[in-house]
Amino acid sequence: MKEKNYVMVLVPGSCIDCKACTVACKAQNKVPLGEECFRTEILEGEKIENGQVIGITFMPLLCFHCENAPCITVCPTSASYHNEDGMVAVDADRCIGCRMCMLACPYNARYYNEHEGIVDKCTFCMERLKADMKPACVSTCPTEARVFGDLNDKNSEVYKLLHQKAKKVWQPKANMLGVKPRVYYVEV
Amino acid sequence: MEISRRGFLKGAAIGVAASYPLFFKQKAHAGILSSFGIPEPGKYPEIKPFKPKVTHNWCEMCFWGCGIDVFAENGKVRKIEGNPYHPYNYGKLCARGNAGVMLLYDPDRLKTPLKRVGKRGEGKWEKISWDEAISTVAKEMTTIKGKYGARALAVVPHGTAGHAAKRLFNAMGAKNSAEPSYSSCRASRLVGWFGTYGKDLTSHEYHDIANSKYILLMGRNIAEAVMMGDAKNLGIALSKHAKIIYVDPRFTKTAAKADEWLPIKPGTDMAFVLALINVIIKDALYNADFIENYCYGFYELREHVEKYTPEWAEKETDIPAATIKKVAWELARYAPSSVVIPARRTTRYGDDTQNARAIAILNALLGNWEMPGGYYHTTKIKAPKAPLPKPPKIKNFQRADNCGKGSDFPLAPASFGRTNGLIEAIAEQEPYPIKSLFVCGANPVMDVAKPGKTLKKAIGNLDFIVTVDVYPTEMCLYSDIILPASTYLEKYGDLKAGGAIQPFIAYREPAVKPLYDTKDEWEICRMIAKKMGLEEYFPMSMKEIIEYKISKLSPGEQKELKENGVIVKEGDPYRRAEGKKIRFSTPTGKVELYSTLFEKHGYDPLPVYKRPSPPPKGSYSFLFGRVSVHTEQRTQNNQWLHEAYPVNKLWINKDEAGMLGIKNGDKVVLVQGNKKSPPIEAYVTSRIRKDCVFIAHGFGGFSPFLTLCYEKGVLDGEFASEAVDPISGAYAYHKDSFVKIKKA
Repeated sequence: MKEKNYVMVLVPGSCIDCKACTVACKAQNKVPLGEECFRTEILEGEKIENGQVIGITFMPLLCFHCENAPCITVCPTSASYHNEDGMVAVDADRCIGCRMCMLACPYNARYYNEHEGIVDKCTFCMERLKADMKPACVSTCPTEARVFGDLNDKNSEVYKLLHQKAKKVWQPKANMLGVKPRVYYVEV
Repeated sequence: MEISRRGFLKGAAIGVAASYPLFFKQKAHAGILSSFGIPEPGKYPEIKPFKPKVTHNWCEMCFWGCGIDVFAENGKVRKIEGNPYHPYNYGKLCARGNAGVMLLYDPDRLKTPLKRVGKRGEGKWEKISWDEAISTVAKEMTTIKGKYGARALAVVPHGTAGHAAKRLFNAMGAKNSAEPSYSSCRASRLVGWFGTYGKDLTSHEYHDIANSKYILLMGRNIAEAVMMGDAKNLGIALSKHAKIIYVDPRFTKTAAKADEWLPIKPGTDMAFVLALINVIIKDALYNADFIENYCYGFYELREHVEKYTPEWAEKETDIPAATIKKVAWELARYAPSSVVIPARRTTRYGDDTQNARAIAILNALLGNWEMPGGYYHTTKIKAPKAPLPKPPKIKNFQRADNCGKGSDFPLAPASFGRTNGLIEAIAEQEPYPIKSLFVCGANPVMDVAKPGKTLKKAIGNLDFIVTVDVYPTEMCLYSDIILPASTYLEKYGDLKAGGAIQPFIAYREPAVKPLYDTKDEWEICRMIAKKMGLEEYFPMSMKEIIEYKISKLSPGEQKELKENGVIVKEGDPYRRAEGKKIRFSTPTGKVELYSTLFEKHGYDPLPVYKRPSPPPKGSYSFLFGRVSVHTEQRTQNNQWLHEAYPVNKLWINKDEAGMLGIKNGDKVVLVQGNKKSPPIEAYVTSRIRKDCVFIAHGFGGFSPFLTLCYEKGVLDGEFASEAVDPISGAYAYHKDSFVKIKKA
């Protein structure tokens, strides 16, 4: 077992779709301008009954940092890799911008950086983790719809959320493919 | 060619399984790589820890004033983060706060002082030196003062930037100052709350929703009119499963988080609240102890609300009587940890002050004052004072804006002023000539009603207009001299004392030197004062002021301020829960269910419901409001925020749109009399009632120098009403404001 087992737990019930995460991420990770360029975003799903909206769910989305990452599998240059903490990252020097990984990713978590000709994605803010800071999106989220931590630490909030507080824990269906994501959704 | 996978997948459910082959074996092809000169796997770049230079500040992307830590690398601001200690946001920050970086680096910013060379509105400017700009301002204002008196000099200040301008004009003896936040936003709530509790609800509302068990939001769209304190506390309330009832003609993002959405008929909020009061009193659900010890006028109230039955209110509001009864019972069940929250912008239908009163009264019946989950007590704290002489007192100054003592709006505080009154006075040159306007940190063109009519007329009457701003706004187009201000990331700021659940003193220091030839507003006003011979009122620079003030703090406090960016003390939020006696600053010393203050001034001492006129056949009530990524009209040119919400759309109910033959995404126009809007995209949805339409505020700007938001969307002010709330004197933007929708 790795020393750290970083995971992110998302609480859609708390998300208000304020976009603070998307903008914080853009700043932290120097994500280029452009509506299609983002490492994390919020999806919206309407619940409709008899033609009337009766509910909206906000679903934060980012890289799921799969243990069996299809993006790594298909990368012809090994630019996509698991770093020492198990997170999926892209080595910009190796990336040739072929975008195979974007097609392989079941979560639409990657984007193409036209300016540099490479594919970019969430890294759980590696440089922040090295400085003992939480990822930018987690740190800024006003309603704490994003929780980050080490699942090996039984005192961590993520451990408590997943093992004690959550009424329901789920991962998107793509996990049926055995990708083993590091991101969980919970209902508390 | 671009593979735009995001384009077609955006919005799709994330449950979709992708079909990709899993039989590629990882690293199977590693050996081939070296032949292409690609490094072998396994040797990946080392990631360096993020160690930026941190400066402390408070955010000014909106006016909440969250504490922020600004992270800079190599002399460039890279990231802004919430200050974890600051009681306004405790480390959290919204999209706008995060996008402060892009305000700083916006290429469209004002970079030097400018002088108008074309006609007003043309936007033909010439660069001038600071010396020339300041000399011109001082000369013109001195001339006007000499000819017409100091009262001919008006000022519209806003935000922390506005304090310096107010001081400058006070020093000149010019008291015609009006802050847009009053007349355009929170005025009626302020006056209504004052008439009940003897205290303003302030723009930092002291409701304790983090601990509430039941929250009734009267159009308070927390998820979209984002203020970090509220948003953060809403998150806590959600995680604790507080029950949330949201009342609004629109299904907003806040409605999405609520347990129930009550789509109320526009303009009938007071009927709903009065019916809740009716049930609570009739069914004896009120907090008898609080009413006996702390409230005045319960019997008058009881008699007054008898006629406001839920059945009556159902007809007015479209909210079923059974729902009203249920909400009343639930409010009482969870009291005192239940709370009714008014909207922030209470400039709606002209009954807003009384509507705020009704909400204040309802809260009083629940006995939630200074109780956990209700309204808490904000402990006052004062920052040390710097030796700045007080501007001379002016006795019997006759204000032009019809505000305060002796005016038609005696309860409207002269300390804020009425922008609508001021603009009208300038347009009519009544009660006396006003010839100069100094705008600091505001953009009235984009927030007043009917800017094309009244404001334009006012501008035509002015001999001299100065605007101090970061951006070349629409107001700048009409200005004779434009003075470029530094952003909050480039300047020092006065120590800011405030109170949330904990009182605090915050600190602002520049993260970077000014990028362009800009100055902070204090310095600008100081330079003008000097030229006008008023330097005694500006004896120190802002940096000197805060250094002086910090020197008066205790060593412990100094350390805390420097290290954390904020001094935080313990508050005393739940005095009543602790059995402490409270006195209210009303004439009776009690919570005035029956307002003796209102009675004295000839207003209804108890809120009387007046039915708003319904939209004529074929027309819709015209509504506007916030989106979560924009502040008023200040952030539309910010690249990151522009991406998140580039242009406003017209919300229209799908059934109505169907009848008009309008499909989602069609271009439509708003028509009001002979006024027609530019084309706007229709958002056809069931998220809005059938009798109203909605657009987001802050769009339709026409300054060509703001390249991202130039002519994007529709300006709401043109279709808003100039009507006035008879008590607060603020705008009633939606009163009899109707539009027809036509295909473009």
